Amino acid sequence: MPDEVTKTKNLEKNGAYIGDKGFCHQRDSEAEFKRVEGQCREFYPEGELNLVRKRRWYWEIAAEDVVKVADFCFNTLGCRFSIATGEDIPRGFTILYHFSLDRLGLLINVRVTLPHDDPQVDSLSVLGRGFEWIEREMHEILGIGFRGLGDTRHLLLPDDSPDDYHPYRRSFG
Amino acid sequence: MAELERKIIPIGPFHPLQEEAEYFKLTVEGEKVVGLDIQLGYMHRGHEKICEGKTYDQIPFVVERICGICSTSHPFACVQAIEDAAGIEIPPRAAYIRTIVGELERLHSHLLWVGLAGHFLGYNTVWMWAWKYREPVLEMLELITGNRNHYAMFKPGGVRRDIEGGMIPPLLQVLDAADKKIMMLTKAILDDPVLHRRLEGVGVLTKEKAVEYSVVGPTARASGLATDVRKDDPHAAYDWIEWEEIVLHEGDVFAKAKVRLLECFESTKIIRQCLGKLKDLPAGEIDARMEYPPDGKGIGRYEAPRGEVFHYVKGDGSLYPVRYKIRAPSFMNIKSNEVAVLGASVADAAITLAAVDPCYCCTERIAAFNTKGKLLYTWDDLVKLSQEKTARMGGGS
Amino acid sequence: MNMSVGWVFFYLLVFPGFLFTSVVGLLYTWIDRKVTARVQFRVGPPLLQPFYDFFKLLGKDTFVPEGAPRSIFLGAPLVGLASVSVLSTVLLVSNMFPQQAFAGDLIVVLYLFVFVPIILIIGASASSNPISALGASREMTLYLAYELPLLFALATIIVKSGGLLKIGDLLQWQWANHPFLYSASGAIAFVSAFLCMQAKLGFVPFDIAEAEQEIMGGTILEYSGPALAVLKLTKAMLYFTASIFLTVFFWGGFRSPRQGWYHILGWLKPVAIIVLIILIKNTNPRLRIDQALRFFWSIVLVLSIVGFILAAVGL
Repeated sequence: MPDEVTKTKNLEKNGAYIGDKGFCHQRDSEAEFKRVEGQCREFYPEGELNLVRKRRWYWEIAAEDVVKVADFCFNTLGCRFSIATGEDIPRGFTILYHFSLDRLGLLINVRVTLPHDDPQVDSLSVLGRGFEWIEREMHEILGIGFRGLGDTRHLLLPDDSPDDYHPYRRSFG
Repeated sequence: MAELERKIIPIGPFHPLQEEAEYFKLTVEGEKVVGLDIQLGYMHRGHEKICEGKTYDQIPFVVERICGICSTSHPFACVQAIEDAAGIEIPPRAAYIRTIVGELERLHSHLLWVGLAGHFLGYNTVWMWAWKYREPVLEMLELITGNRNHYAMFKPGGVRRDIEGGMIPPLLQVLDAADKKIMMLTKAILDDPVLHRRLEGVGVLTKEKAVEYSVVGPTARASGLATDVRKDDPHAAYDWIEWEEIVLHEGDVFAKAKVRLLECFESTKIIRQCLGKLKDLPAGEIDARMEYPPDGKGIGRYEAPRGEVFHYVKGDGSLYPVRYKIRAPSFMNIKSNEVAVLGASVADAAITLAAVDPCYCCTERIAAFNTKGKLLYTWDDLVKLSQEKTARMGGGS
Repeated sequence: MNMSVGWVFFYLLVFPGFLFTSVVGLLYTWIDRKVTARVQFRVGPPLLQPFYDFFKLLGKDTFVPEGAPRSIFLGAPLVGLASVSVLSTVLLVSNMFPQQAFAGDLIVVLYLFVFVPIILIIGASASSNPISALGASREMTLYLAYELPLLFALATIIVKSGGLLKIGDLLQWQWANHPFLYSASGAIAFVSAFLCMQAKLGFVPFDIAEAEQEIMGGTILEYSGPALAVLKLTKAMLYFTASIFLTVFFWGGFRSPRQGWYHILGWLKPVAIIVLIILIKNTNPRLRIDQALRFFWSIVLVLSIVGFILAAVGL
């Protein structure tokens, strides 16, 4: 994992947070969009990158590569982690990690799918503490296991609610 | 020096000032804060789940009730998510009206925070003055929407009420008066030497930590991160008018206060421009028809007074969404208190915890449970309870 | 000193002691609330509101926290009340009958003033609540901060008057010459004593020990019912006594040897002082305890020492 210093350097290099009056808005530059798209495809060619709208990209990746891709989005591209959405769908659990590339106003939604019988995924809390709460939330409401998430206490449910009770799980029949 | 005894100072579960339920467990050595544990979960109402049982027309009204203060930000993000999923363009008139309502809300919310911050410092005069000067803003909102709060203005595809030509001059008048009052308050606060000494260097959130915690809104902008959804992700009328994004670098409580106060002037600037453009626009449609319910995913973002509100909606072509995800700004911001209060004294902790302008009921939105972990009331039960009560009241009279 | 026991009790309990001081003290809190309300665009409470509040509290239950020694926890407010009653009696009686003062009453006044922070600290420590303990430690720090400047301020006027140690003598000196306030050294001493009183009363910017927004009342957090009522009354009486203190020592007392309208004007002096206190209270945020300590030990202490030196050279 890159340390504090290189992380900041990365941000500066990518023109993410520069200048006093806001940052250099390359917001409408098509070339910049193309460049980021190229970077993404080059970094993780196995993934399926759907450019659904100009500023809403969906990126289907394998669950075991989530830390690698998230690290790329968060540290290399200089995205801000917006939030993650967990969902129970017929073929498993999906997690959508929403990364916001503020200089382009672009949302890169990284999607992983986990099997119903053993939903386990690596925790992103190694990248930053901002990831902790939402993983705790998904852990309790959907019962997804996050490997490496230190703090797995209940966040929103009462402290004494049973560990096998997951209100957002659905039954498909 | 001997090791000081560690004690727990609880702030909560019911906050003595913010009148909201959360629990900050401060670990202190003497007066120095050495640890913070934030416990949530006292305010669940289950909005995400409720939304899944509502039609797309009803959802804006439900999400409006997530928070009383940002009661336009959530519908704003919500209708944009639905429009994104359904692929609708809104008419320009509606875009301007949305922008006006959104900015009025920012004005009143920032003034509310300034007042609360004053109260936190024992400076009750600032509290009362800020809230008095907030009144004209609420009056404008009432003039436009008919309500001081919970405006019920937004619907997927547009807005529900028009701002007609005749309303614009009185609105501008109130706006000018409010502008002067806010200017006076801002000067009084920014020039107060005691406030400077009390707030500068307090609760610093460095840029690196701000990135790590992915904070949003004024909290991020005071730490030198230029992130503002209004600028970044163009929507409504924000792209058609001129305004500045306020970014400061200190990251302390004073910078956060300053960002908010200066943003008030950007807001009045935006409102004034929008009203001007609205006057020149021919009267016309304020809402675009949504022909079919969305089939697919949509994301709506809006810069609420506290930061980016994030709504994700997934539809399957039926009248109801399959999944509705809400992320309020405080969910990211409150967590960053963990680093901002470390090493501060208990006296500074109170104001630091409040400086992100936390909104606990926004942060928690999931479901109503009793302690056994079973769903206490489903939505239908609640409706039934309410109807029974109404019937009782009707029968009694 | 030819006072019969009956008169002593009358002085202590009715006028100008307990009863008079408590009524005027509660009226002072009304002035406080009213002026504050007007500054903040509010209407403010009716005249008798402090009395309603007091009697309402008397009718409530007193709750003694688990693990708190009952006698100390409940006894502390009563000791405070008694000491403030004696304090105001001494101050007012020596103002009414300056020739009847007893030697060393100045020292008695100083000691009685110390009682209020001490009973607050004792009561808070007895309540076995960590937040109250924090309040108690803040109260103690604050007391250490303001006590020295206050002593220097009093020393200033003693030196100025040529070494008089009785309150009555000090008053008569002021009537014979001029109130201390009207001389350079006296004015400086007044300013520092005034700031110390603001801290002693626990008002913004020095309400650090109670800071409801940080430590939820701190020293008085665990008190309820009549015990709280007694504490509130003590504070109200202290409010009045502090203004009398400043008037007597620096402004020639509220009663002057001159006749007629001066009497009424003299009674307005303490009111003017509390209005000043209220305005300071309403135009400042609360300081942090370390800032308060630094403020008193650097600025106020230096100020009062300068006053003392000026008095020594006869200014």
